[in-house]
Amino acid sequence: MLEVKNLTVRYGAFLALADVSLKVEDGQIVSIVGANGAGKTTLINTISGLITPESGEIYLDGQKLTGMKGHEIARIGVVQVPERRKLFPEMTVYENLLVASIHRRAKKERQKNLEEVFSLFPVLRERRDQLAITLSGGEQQMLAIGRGIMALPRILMLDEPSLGLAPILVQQIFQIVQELRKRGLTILLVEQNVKHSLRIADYAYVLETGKAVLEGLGMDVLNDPHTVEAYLGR
Amino acid sequence: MKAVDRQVTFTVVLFVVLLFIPTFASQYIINIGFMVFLYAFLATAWNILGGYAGQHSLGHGLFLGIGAYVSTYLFVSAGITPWLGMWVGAVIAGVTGWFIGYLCFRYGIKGAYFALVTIALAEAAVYVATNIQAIGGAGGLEVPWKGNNFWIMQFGSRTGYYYVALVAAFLGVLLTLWIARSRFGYYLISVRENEDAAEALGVNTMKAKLMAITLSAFMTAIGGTLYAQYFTYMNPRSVFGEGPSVQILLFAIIGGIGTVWGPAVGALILVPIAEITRAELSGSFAGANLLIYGLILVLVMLFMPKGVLGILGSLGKGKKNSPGEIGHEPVGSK
Repeated sequence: MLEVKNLTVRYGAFLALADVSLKVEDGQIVSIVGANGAGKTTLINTISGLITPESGEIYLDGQKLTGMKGHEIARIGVVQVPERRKLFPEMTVYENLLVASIHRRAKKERQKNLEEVFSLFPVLRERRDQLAITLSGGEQQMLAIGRGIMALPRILMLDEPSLGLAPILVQQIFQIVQELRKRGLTILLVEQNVKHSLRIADYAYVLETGKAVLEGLGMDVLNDPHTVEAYLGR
Repeated sequence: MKAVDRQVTFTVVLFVVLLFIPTFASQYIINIGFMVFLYAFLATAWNILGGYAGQHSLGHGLFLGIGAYVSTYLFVSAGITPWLGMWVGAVIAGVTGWFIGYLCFRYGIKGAYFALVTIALAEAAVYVATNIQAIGGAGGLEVPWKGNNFWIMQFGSRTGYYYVALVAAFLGVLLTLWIARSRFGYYLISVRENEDAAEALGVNTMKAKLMAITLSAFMTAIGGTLYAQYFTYMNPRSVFGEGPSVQILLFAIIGGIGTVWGPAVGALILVPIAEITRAELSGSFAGANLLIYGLILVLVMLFMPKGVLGILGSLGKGKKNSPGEIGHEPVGSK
């Protein structure tokens, strides 16, 4: 279980996250929704150890993550699939997958994980020796998720996986997220696509200008009057 | 992996062929050969940090100068052979490089800012060296000629230096071949391609960058000792200055940074051009050689921004110049 307790993050004078607390239970999909600038990416990057919080603590199964370095956090299994994918563009598809599984814990499982990634995304097998930069947007997102799986996550954090994708691909990505949970992964999903991500979420939080203003079961949050008014415009 | 074996074979064959050049070539050609190998080696060293790890140092003269000064000072003052002094200089440069890297990377200095820091430190070294009388101050340091003796790295003809530089360049290329396929190499490339993503996937980016700058500085200092032994004279500006710093990276850029052979190919193209234009033109048209040299650089930059091998590599992988950005924005930019 991932636990975030009273997290506050500032960029200089700008308050990006104000006293945010949340929990991600094992085997669940937890969605965090909110508009642009609500602090969603900041939250993920702080959990990943790329940003140092002003105060607050983060735990994975009781182990304190705050204060650890980014790569250490990744190696114990808190893995991020970053916004806009952030692939290694001049590496091939295979090399991108390889780099993610190069540390000791993931290396043991490399073959198995590689097979799993290729079974989830057969197109990546076809494109194995192509440079990542030559992939289409949807393929790039698949590679980014595949790269995350190769790092042997205990919890996979997906930052805006549907960003910039055609509607049909958006559908596909959300199906994949559900498939990943079926295979036993714990998922923290950050999305601007409120409707889709709340529909597949076991539990959800709504972030607004750095504050968690609403939380509950995915469907409850989806049907909450505030959500409907602010995000769904019905 | 087979392609790598083929490359190793090619490197070894090329090395053996080059061993025989001095048996028939003139001293003039051998001189050019030495310069090609020396600069190929230096640019290869730069390429580990600049090409693979993507941290562009514009101050590698600092490490070149440390290598040149340390081995020469030990030789002049204590009679220690440059064969030993070379390693002392390399270790000092490696530690210096590590320290610079630690300061920069610890505080998130990268890109153009890292380049500026390296320029500033190399420039500072010029003034530090100018003010140390024990190493000759502004007047510089001379390597005294003690006669043709392999054990003190002094040779009666240019052929001896040719072989020393050839071995250095050969080992440098082999090392790069290894790096390019090793876990270390993948770490470096992932840092270059997207540092935050690499860190978030479990790559110790700090350690990777520190290893790269330490190794690069270490090797560059070895090149500095060869430089000192061949030219037998150095002053603060000639080794620590912007001249050598820029030259080193030009070879890498022209040849293709981040490729195994790029730096060597860059040296192979540019050194003879520089030498020949200097020999042919500096008498009648003073400065014309630099004009032509500059023109060639501009043309390569314009038409082959990825360097000679960068172009070939792109063709080889069938890459198109299509989809532009794959998220080069910094993580947490909003």
